[in-house]
Amino acid sequence: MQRRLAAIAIVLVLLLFPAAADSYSLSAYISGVSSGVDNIGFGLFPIGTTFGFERLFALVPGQRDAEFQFEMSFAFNNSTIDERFDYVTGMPIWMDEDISALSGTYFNPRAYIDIYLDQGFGDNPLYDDGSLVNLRLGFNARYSMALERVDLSKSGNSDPPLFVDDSGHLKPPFDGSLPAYPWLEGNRSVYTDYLYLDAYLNLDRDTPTDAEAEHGLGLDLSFVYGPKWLFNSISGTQSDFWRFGIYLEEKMELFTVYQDNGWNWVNMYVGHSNTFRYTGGATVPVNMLPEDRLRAILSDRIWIHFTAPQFLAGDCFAFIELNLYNTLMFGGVANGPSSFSIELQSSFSARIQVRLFGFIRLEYQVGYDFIRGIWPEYPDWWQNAALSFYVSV
Amino acid sequence: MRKLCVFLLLMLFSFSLYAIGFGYHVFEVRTEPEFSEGVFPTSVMYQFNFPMPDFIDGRRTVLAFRLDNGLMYRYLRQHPDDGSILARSSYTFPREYTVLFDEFNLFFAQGFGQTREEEKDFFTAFLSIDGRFENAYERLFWLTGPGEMEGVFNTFEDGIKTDRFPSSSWIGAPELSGSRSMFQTSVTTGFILDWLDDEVTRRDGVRFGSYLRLSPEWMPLSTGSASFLVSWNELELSKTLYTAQQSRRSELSWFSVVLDDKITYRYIYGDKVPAYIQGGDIWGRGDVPNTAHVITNRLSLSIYGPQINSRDSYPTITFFWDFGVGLGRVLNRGSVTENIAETVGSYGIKAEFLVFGIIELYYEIGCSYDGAFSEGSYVEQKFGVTVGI
Repeated sequence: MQRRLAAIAIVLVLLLFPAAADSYSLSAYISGVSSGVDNIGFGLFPIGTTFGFERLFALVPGQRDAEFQFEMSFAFNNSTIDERFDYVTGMPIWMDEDISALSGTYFNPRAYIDIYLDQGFGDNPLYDDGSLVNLRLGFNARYSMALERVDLSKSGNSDPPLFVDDSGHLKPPFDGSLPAYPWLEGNRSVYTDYLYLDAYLNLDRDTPTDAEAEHGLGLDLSFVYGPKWLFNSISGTQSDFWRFGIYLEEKMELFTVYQDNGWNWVNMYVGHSNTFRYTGGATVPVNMLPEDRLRAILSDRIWIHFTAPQFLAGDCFAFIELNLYNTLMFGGVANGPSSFSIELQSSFSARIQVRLFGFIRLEYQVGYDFIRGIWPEYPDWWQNAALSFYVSV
Repeated sequence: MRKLCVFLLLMLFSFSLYAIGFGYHVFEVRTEPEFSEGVFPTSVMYQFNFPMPDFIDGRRTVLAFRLDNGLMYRYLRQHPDDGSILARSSYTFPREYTVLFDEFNLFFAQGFGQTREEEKDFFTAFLSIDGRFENAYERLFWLTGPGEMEGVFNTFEDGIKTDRFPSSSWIGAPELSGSRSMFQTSVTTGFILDWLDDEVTRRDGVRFGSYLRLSPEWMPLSTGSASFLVSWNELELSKTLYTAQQSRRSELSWFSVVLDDKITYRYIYGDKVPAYIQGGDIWGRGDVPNTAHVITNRLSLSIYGPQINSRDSYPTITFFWDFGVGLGRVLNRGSVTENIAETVGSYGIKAEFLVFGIIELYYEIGCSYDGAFSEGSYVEQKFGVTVGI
């Protein structure tokens, strides 16, 4: 009941803004699909989906319309427990090799609702229809379950359950407190939420199809706040954290060669960005854990982006992007000890993407990790490929 | 090979619409009480409209690809071995289970004839090619505690998991045979006659729809776990009994009272009828039995208003009475011929508040006064929030 009231109260408060508006427009979109467990639909059809609704309406006189977005998502697939952290102390294996680790795979049905209100101010000097500054206030609520793998219910599968014994009682250590994995405690049905505030400075051009060369500067300041009093302690404290982030990006167009119809033959731009994020608080939910759980992240990225000719339609094109990342992670361990740790990661990646008709994306990535800091993984090549669908109307 | 065929089919669909871009609609977002108490979504149905010129000037031509996917709960209604009905006295185990599903329809529709509304056609004919994947598992809360060890498919005896129904051929639930996964393709054709003015809080007129879905076992790509033909006929009648318009904005109303009746008749023929085709839905846990002839009816009186600053933001109170009957041969009974006539009935009240047609806050209380096969009467209430469009 508490979580229902939380969701209802906050949804209603945010809905007051568009309700006060005289006019608005609505658009819908879908993005991000997953094919679920056992590759239902031969792995091609979606079983998890992200979709949403957007409304534009006049909120501040003399400024551009505010945007109200309501986004929902669900996914039904497996997750694997990260074995690198002690389940009581949160101590990572690189700080103490003799840790008590959890391992296993579980069915992880989950969904979230994200609501935000975005208002622009001023004029972007590089884009006639854009604002110079945008302020965004949002709310994100997430529900997830950690259940036994669904293939246990199949005939002939004699694997033992992960969480319970043959009589249904919780197995150790799931029968006790798991400070490093609070989402695996108790009945493992977890509700968490947080508020967020973003401020964007926009000094860059609009690129409606991503086929155009990007150019300009962008700055994003963000603050995320998920305290336990915000309905985050319904089944034990599942969230009590905050995060501050700053992101700065600079891009410069090198050249563009146009076709007669205004489409691109080719274009190229270079980019550079820096990110700093710090995650504080006693309990960080699983979806907000920083990489390797180190609280502070400082990263630097340099990339060069080459777009091949547009063909058939404005949103049919391919691009190649070469990236060099350097990421420094440091500080205490989230959901773990406060002792200082530091790690440097350096990697190179090449990303090739083909986009067809605005909603099909074929992507292949290959990369090489030079350094994986103190975490004992050796320099290694990696690759992945994906087919995804994305629609925005 | 099958994967390749489906992939090529998808690519073919996409390449046929390259030129102009297309529209996208979300039709329905659903929730399940077992997942987040029905607050967060578990499935969604949406549609891509391919850009098509109207073949007949002023009448709509639609080519669309519809997807419906997610997770849902179901109940085992017939004994897997022989298809006998699982009446209350004949089972002692939990009957609910989870289904991950994914359905697609590629359909073409053409409208004819004018109605009082400019955007609406009086007669619409349609044809679609359909496919449906399903994968069934135990209910979500299976194996979460000492009282949750028994499942519909599995039982624990002396701490050892064993199959409750070890037969590999499930006559009573053909889509659950073997690994409990299926894929079935079908062809559907039908028409809609529409003379219903639907103004959100005011409705007047009549609408009739009829379709025929053919899904024999030999359909391409099918796994052979379904073989059926269904004729689905639906008649809707609506009458606005009273309405009071807002004086400042005439498109909005302060208050309106609408009487609706919706009657559905299904004729189902086949020896392997999957659960998603069976019976009919009424309020409550007891669906209409899986018989060859199924009739359901909902008579309702809705009180709307006021509309608050927007056509799709308003409170509603609905009084409803549901009635269903299953007649004739029980389906999925193998070589056994069994004829029944079984009625079900329920009534209730639903109070809801809709915000922008997206978010619905509701309270519902109902009574099942006539359960199928002597299931006892019961009262249930629900309170919650759902999202949808």
